[in-house]
Amino acid sequence: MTRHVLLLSLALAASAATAQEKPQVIRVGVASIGTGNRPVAGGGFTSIAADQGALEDEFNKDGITIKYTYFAGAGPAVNEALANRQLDFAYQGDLPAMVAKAGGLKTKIVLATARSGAVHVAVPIDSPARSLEDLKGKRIGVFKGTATQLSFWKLLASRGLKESDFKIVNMSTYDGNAALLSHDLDAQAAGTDLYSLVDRGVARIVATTRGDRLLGSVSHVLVTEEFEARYPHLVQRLVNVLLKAAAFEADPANRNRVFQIWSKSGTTFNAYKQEYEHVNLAERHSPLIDDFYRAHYKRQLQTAIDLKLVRRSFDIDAWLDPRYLERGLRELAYERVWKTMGADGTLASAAAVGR
Amino acid sequence: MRRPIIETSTTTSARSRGWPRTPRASAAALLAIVLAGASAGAQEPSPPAAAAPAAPVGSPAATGAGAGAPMPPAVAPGDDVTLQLKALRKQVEELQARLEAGPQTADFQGLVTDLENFKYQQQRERETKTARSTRNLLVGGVVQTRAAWYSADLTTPVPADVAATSVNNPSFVKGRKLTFDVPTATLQFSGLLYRDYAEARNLGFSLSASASPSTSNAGQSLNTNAFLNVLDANVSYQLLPTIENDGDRLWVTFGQQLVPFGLEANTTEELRPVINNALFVAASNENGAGTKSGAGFNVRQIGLVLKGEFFSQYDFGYNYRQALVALALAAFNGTGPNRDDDNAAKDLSARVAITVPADYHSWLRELRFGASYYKGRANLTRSATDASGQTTTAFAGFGRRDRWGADVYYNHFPVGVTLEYVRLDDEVLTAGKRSTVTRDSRTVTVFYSFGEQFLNSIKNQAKYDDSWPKTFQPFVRYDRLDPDTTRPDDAVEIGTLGFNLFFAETTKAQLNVNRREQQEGAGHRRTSTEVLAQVQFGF
Repeated sequence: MTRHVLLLSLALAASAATAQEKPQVIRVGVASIGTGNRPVAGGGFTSIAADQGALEDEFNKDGITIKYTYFAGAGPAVNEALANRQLDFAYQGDLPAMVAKAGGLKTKIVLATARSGAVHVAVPIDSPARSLEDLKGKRIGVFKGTATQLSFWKLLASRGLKESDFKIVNMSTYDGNAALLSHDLDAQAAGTDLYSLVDRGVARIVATTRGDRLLGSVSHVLVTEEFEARYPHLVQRLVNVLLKAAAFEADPANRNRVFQIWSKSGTTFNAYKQEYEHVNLAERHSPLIDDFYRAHYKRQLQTAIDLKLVRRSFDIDAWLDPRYLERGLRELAYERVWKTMGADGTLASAAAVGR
Repeated sequence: MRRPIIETSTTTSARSRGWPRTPRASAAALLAIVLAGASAGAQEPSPPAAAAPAAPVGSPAATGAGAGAPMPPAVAPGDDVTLQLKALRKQVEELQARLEAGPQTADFQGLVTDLENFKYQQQRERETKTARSTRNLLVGGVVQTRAAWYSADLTTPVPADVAATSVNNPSFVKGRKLTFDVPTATLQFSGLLYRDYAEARNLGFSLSASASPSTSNAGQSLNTNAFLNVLDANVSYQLLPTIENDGDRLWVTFGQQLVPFGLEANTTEELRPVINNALFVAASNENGAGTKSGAGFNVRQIGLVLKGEFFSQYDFGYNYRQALVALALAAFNGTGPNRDDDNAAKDLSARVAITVPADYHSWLRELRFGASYYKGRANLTRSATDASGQTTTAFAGFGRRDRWGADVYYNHFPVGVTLEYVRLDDEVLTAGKRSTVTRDSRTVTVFYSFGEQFLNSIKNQAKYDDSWPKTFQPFVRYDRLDPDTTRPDDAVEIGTLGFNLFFAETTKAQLNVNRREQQEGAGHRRTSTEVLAQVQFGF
């Protein structure tokens, strides 16, 4: 009897060990959706990897399913799912991730996905407003809790304005765009989606963070500490797959193809063309965790604390984990694909991603 | 647009065809040629240049006359070239306008036809196949279909300890153990009567009706006693702006509605893990002499309710809202649904709930303590004999009808726990003597969810299809009602082991096993078992 119990215990232990080497599913949360609630996002190399089925190709052969979840509630919804242990990886922007980290969510950022993410303020085409100042006292829609909010707040501050100068209404991007067209909002602060309205001749941009790296947002790929501790080899494989997608995007020859892929989200090809006019995609969507990325995340955190959007500080350097990135760059011989930036945003040299 | 046409075409044509070199004359003539070409192009697509036959200069084909285009004025040496140029310019503008207008009138790849078809189809569908209402309206409903098994044969008269269970219908039964049942079929209408776009101080309405079988055991009729009752019938107005998530809330609801008392009484069918209500919810009002009148908390009351949420916090990092204090004040007839008041007093109710302030990530999230009070007054009656010797019902005074409740609610996904204590005091008249019957109830429910059903983020994810995350929810509940605290050994206890399977957005399958113990005097307990299998769907 004792022998049977011992054998059973060993079998269970072996079974548990096997289970720890390989999960059945890798759950990836995306803080964005496409037009009409479609589970497609645009505007980054993670979207290219999703479109190409690159993660599925990498992991399905091992019997691991990739489960993408696209959240209409954007970054805050990703946080809710992370807090309730429903995700392993997340693609999201700076503010919601910082709120969650400050609140105790155990995550690590393993890859940058964007820097200098632009926020624009648009008004209906027939609005008399020509600038942010003209919108004082008016209703402006912002998706609170998202990276858009933080960049918009910084845009206001850069013009000597503050939130209380306006009637700020919390609205998702798509609801806000609809409210803008029905004139229930006087203005809407959002990203590339606004160019779709501009394209249709129904809206006009009156302010933007474009061209100012210090006003823009940063975004990332993060992993839960629990998953990273259990499956570091899978984290490395996922990072490598995303680096390949990033390299595809960084190649100027693929620029139109990249816009075509992104436009599957419902945001028009022309909107992306306008958003990224004169923008080097390799710079804007650099995966590097370099001096600029670190310094800017620290700047974003301090601003968020000053604006009481984040309640307490934490160690950004400990949160950013470039080990997988560095190894991936070496394994794929991508050291010279992206150039690092100095803390102030000046281009330095080919990848040197350490501190 | 004009300059390139003139410059490129004229240069080539003039040189190749040996046109007179006099500057003014040549310019006018060249313009004429160009206009002829443009005119032809405006009428219909031109053949490829290589395939077009060459025409002599000045011939009808070359000037465009053959294509039906306006003829340019003849150019004669010595004419006023300036005037001719003006005329030509005018013609160029006319032709340009025709060119620009052309594509708008054309049916570009059938697009115009498609749009017309779509407009026709939409109009027809709207007129013939679309339900419409005069106001903003949302139609919904909840239906339960159930199979119920009871451990004992049920035969009329049904034992008192089985009364008011789901198996007590119809009124006359013989040796029944198993029955199929549609305990509830509810139809709901709600919407906005006035929408405040600026601040969302909206005026809304709610109307619902439910067809449910009566649990009355009176009479021997084979009538199923199924009928339609109006449940909610009220209007609600937001007194504070609700356009933002993080502000306080204050709203008033007028009409027929649930009483804001405790947890169980206010939990709607869609959210309650257990099939049956807690015993106290259905406990009617005591009026002595072994009979009961009025209604418990499971029915609506007609009146006015003011609800508020104060010291609210909204964590935008998680889209999570919590109010430190939630208040409800109410005044009702106290006579139940669809009935006028029967005395001068109004029943009053108050509830306060304190939610522990906590970050979303904290284990204290969604921990709430509540207290409720209901103060009512009932008409006490006695039998009397009038002057003609007929037995009548006579008014004998007002009786106190008070309820106290305390509850704890902790719903921290995936775990949920609710505890509720309720005490019910009813002043009764027995044999002409006033006394108070006191009942108390204790209910504990613990559930655990496997799956993502209850996460807002997951519910609002982007998707192409109607997929819905499956959720499995086992639970246990203990429910106890002591019908008279002054009498020992008369309590009813029900232990429930249950399982809910959420497999579609508004649909769940439920299985409840209820073990009921009825105390019948010292040392004597009567036990029975009830098994309920139910599918509940909303739409």
